[in-house]
Formats: sequence, structure tokens, C-alpha cells
Amino acid sequence: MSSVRSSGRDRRNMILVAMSVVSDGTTRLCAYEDIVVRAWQLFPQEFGLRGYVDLYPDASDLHKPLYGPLKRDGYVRVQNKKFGLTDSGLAVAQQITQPPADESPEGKGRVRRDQLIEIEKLCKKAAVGLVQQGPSEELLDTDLYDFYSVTVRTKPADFAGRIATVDRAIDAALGAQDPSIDKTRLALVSLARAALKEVHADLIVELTTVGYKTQS
Amino acid sequence: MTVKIKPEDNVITDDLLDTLGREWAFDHVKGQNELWKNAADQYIRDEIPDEDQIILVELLELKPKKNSVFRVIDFGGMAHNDIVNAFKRWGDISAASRNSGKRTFGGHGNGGKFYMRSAFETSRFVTYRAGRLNVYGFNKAHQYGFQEGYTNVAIDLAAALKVAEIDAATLPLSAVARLEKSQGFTVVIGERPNNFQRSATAKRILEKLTQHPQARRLVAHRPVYARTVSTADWQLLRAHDPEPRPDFPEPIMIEVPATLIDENGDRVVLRDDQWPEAFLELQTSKESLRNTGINRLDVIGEIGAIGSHDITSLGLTNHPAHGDFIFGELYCPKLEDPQYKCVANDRERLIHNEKTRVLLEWARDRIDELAGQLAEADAKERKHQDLSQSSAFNELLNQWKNKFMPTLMAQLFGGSGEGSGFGGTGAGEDGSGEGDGAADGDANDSDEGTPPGGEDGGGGDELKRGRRAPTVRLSGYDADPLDLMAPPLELSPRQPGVYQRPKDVPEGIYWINTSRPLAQRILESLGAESTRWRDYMFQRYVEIILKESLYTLERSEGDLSADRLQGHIDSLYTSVYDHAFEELENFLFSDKLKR
Repeated sequence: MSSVRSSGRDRRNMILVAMSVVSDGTTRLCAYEDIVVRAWQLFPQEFGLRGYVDLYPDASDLHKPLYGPLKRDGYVRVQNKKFGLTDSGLAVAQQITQPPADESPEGKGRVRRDQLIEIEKLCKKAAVGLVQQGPSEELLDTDLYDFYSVTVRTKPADFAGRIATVDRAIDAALGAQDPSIDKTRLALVSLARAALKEVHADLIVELTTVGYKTQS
Repeated sequence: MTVKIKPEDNVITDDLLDTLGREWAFDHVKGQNELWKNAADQYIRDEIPDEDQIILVELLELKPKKNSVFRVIDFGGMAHNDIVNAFKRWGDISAASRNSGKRTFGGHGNGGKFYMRSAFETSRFVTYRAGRLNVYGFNKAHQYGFQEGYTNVAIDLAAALKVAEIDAATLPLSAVARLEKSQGFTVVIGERPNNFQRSATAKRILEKLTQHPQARRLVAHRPVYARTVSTADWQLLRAHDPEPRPDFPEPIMIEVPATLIDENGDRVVLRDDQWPEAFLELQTSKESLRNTGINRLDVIGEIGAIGSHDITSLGLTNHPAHGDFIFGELYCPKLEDPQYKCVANDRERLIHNEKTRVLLEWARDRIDELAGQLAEADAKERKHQDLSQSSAFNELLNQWKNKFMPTLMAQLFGGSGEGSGFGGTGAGEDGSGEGDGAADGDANDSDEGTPPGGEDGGGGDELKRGRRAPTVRLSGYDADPLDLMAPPLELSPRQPGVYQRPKDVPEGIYWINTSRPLAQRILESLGAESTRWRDYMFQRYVEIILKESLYTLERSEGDLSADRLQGHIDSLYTSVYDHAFEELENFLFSDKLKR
């Protein structure tokens, strides 16, 4: 059996697939132990205990990705030590297990359903309306929270995850040129994002940096 | 057919002078101003510096009052030639300057003469210059001429002073010094003044003169002494500017645009190479200036006022009430350009034409802007006073919340209920196993960075510091607990009714946003003492309690369904309202509750 393991990104995708299986293709929360066992069952070479890959799972292989990149990229949410896929995480898992038949090689032409829903929500945000009205209205911190569907109390990793998720949705929509998305509204969403990130750059750093609050 | 007229000299009857003189016949403030300007112009022609231009004014109230005598004295003096070639001539616009090229206060060569002719039974001036005395005046029939025996008489100064009834020993020292230098003087004497009866007083006339747009400038820059009783001491007149508002203490200077477009679409030049400067200077007053005569915009030419307009007459569009607290000067000498024809005979108001209209409209808008700033400042002050009351209420609610919250949280989430407010001091939370070792931990977070295997802990030595009891502050009023030196936190009307900054979260600080439209409306229309406002504040507390409890609920139960949330909200509201009904009845219902 080969001891060479996959790249970090592939391993993270495997965890998403395992979580999708455990949660029956939903975003409900799952026990950490269930995810560990399912991931090992699906990908023993990746998540088996070294030297005993077919006999025992290695729980430590999932801990860091779950709390780290998967959460900060907005694919996983954590509550009371249980883990659930976000809509974005679920969509990625489904894309891996059931790739759409009509997808063009470049991935252009349409965006994922979860991203389409995200864009539709963004179009209705106050910040988008303000950008459309012109520069007279100040973009407030609360406009930033509203745009990314977070609050001042959102945990840093979750905040970062929401930013990553929303940014991916906007970038995907801009790249895909999906005919179901109003181009003018999408342009305004993109402008609102740029304006919010410029105006509240420091706040974003503060709220996505672990330990920042206690340092300040 | 070409019209060929053989020109002849104008034939003018005294009736025309009667007609034109009416505007000076009953207004001694206006008329005295003309005499004061004439005195100043004599000094200007003699190149006497402003500080040495002594003017003495005697408005001597006699009994009966109709026999009173008004006198204005300067220490320049006119020669016979001046009288014949300048004073005698009606409507000579070069009379004041004598073609000297100097800028003088006099404009149209009318004011002083008409005042002497129309406002007194008889009037005259006694003038002495270069050793010659002349007395010239108007008789009861309003005819003018030299007094018999007093045309260009060669006498010494002492004799001339005697003729003029000036006692040098009683003059102010500065006047004596000036007299010694000039060896000349003019005293204008008006006897039995019109319209000086009953409630009219000399003191009131002098007061008005110190506020008069033209005379006020003379008083401000020259020593003008006055007295109302011939034996009294001379009093130096002062132009008193109203005390400014403490929040707008300095004059506000605004440059007049080089050009404005008038109602016909034509460009009106207001600054050019010849008159490069033009500005609007606005000042505020602590007290309302309405009906004081000061609430006006004086239009200033090269040397003095060329018009004055009440602020109310300008028609402020947005903040007319606050216009009552503003006065100022519009310095625009370009208006004196003869081609513009903007300066009226009496210089009371600018001539109404398209040039003056567009300039006054521009000035009106600037005044309206300042009035808007005053209104905004007043609204802030009112709000501050309201919030002072609200802060006392807030303290009461804070005390109620601190007393009530532990019980509520114990009721909703179990546990001892100990600790101050939400979260207490770790009660009800998992114990140890929650460490700092995780890659993505949050110092205040029980989820992140917790190795899942630690769930069954609870036996650690060190208790996690619980979230502090929420502290509620009022935006725009309360000091920032995290920066006591900073001004109160101002929030936007668009920010939520209950607000937190990132740094407020770990400290449990909440701000009630008093700028929210509903809050503003209640404060403005009902006031901070109203039950409606107290209820509004109470509801914000309920909002804070709910928010805090939701986070506690999530920490204790994890995934929250809509049903679970509704059940939680029902329980919480029931407890909060029941408790408030018992503990806050007076606060919520009493009409007369005050701090």
C-alpha cells in the first residue's frame, strides 16, 4: 500500500465528501467521531492510523483541516464541537461526488446553485443600494456585517469563512457570465464588495484575526 | 427728423427740495449719520488718521423738548470756497471728495443738507478755517445762505469758538489737542428738531446710531463723543457687537465669487482687477437680534456702508428662525462701480436690480447655511439635555437588569444563576478541556480551538472568565467606558437601535442608538421624560437581553431550530415583562417620573 498521501486540498475535499455522507447530503451538524470514522472508511489511505490504515482511523488528520482551512474558507461550521457543512461546503462535496453532466470544460456558463442563491441575496443588500445611489452615503460597519451576513460577534474563523464564501460566489458569477444573473446588479454587488473592503479594511482584519479583540 | 434742442439750465423750485427732503425730515438717526459722515469726510480730505478724527455730538434735550438743540462738531473746518463750491450745490456727487480722489463717506451730496433743511426749524453751521469764520444755514422758510455779518470773517480762534458757543475747557482732551493742531472747526447746529417729542429721547437716538450700519462703522473706528446735557461729561460712543454664541464665537469669512450669473443669464462681475477683494463676514449672536436693528447684512463699499438689508427681508429659505441670531457685512466695493448703479441716494438699501439681486441671493444662501448650522447645534444641545434625562433612566434600567438577569438566566438555562448578568462567571459551561492549543481558537469562544475530545471535562482548576454583565450606554451622551477622554460615541441613524463595536463585545458594552429615526421622533415630539421614551429605552433593554440570551442558548444547545427559538423567546419575554411589570411599574407608567 502506498504511503504517499494526497495534497491538502484533495484531503480537504475528501473530508467534505465524508461529511456529506454522514449528514445524508444536508448541512446538519454531525459528531466529530462520525466524520472521522466515515472519512477513514471512504479513504483509508488518507485517514488511517499510520501502520494500521485498515484497522484504525487517525482522528488527528481531520482536526486541523476542520478547524482551520475548511472553516476559514466557509465550507464548514462548528457548533458545540459538532461540525456541519455550509451550503458552500455541501455544494463542493456534491460537485465531487456527482459532477454535473453539462458543465463546460472551463466551468463557464452557469454558477453553482448555492452561489446563485448567494448572489440573489447580495443583490438585495443595503450596501448595494448605497453604491448604486452614489458616494453620498457612508458605508457603515453594519453595512459590512449585513453584506457578509455576519455580526460584530461572529467568530473570526466564521467571519473569514463568510468572506471567502461570498467572494467565491461573486467571483464565480463574474467569471461564468450566467444569463440568469442580472449583469448590472452583479456589477453593483462587485462594486459594493470593493467599496466595503476598502472602507473597512482594518475592521475586516480585526474581525478575522484570532485574538485581535483581546489584544486591542 | 433729427431733434435739435438748444440746452438750457434746469429750473428747479423749492418744492422739489421739500419733496426730496422728506425722507430726512423726521429721522434723526438717519440725519445725524449724514452729519457724522460729513465730519469724517472733512478729516479724510485733511488726511487726518482715523484715530484723530474727533467728532463731538451734542443732542441737548431742553424743556420743552421741542426747543432742543442738536450739534455736531469736528475739528477740520470749511473755507468760504468749500461752502460756495461744494456745500451750496445740491446733488453734486463730487461734493464730499472735492475731486480730491480720496474715498469719502459722502456719496450724492444731499444727505447733510437735506437733514439741516428739513429736520429743524432753523439750522446753521459755524465753521472756522485758516483764520476765517463763516456761518451758513437755513432759515424758517428753509432758504439757505450766509448769516449776515458772518461771511469769511477774519477773526482769531478764540473769538470763533465764542461765536460757535464752544467752550474749549469742557472739551475732551483729545479734542483740544486736535483743535490746537488744526486751528479749525465746524459745528452744525439744528434748533427745534422735528419729531422729537414725547417718548423720543436723545439717548435712544444715540443708541440707534451705534447700531446704524453706517454710523456704527464711524463709531467703531473713530473717537465719537456724545452728551445729552450741555454740562455733562462727554461719553465716548462704542459700537457694541452682540455677544456671539459660545459655539460659534469667531466671525465666518466667505469669499464672494468673482462672478455670479444673474436671472437673465448674464455674468455679474463682483471682483476684478480694480476691486479684487469681496467677502461676506457673518457673525452670530447669543441672543435673538429680532427687532434690535442689528439683525441685518450691511453692504460695505470701499470706505463705508452702501446699503443694509434686514436678514428677514432676504427671505431665508430653510432656517429663517435661526437667521435672527446672525448679522454680518458683505464687503463688495465693485458695487460702487458707477456703471453698476447699485448704490442708492440714502445708502439705506442697495438699488433693486439684477446685479444686487443675484448677490443678495448668494449671501442669503450662505446665511441660510450658517442658520442651518445653528439649528443643527441647537438640536444637538436639545438632544443632549434630553439624553441627560435619559441617562438617569438608563441607570435605573441598568440596575434593574443587573438585579434581574441572573435570575432570568438561571430560569432559562438552569444552573445556580450566580454571577452578574449574562454568562455569569462560568456557571453552566463546560469546564476544562477548552484550551488555547488549537490553531484557530478564539479567546472568548468555547467552540473554536477546542479539541472535541474535551467535552466531558469539567474538572479543571481554572474557570473560564465569563462574559461580563452587559453595560448599556446612550450614544451621543454617555462617555465611552473604554476611552473616557474621548467624546461620546455618535452613531448614524442607519446603525441599529442597539449597537456594539468590536471592542465592546468582550466587555459586554451595548449602545442604545439615540440617532435612530424613531428615537429622534420620540425625543423631539414627546421629550425624554415621556413614558413613550421610557418604554422605547425599556424595549432596547429587552432587545439586549434577547440577544445575549440567544448566544447563551446557542452555546448551550448548538443547532437552533425555529421552534426552539420561538419557545425560547416566549419564555424570555414572559419572564422579562412579568418582572418589569412588578419592578418597573412606576418607570413604565408614571407620567410624572423624573430623575
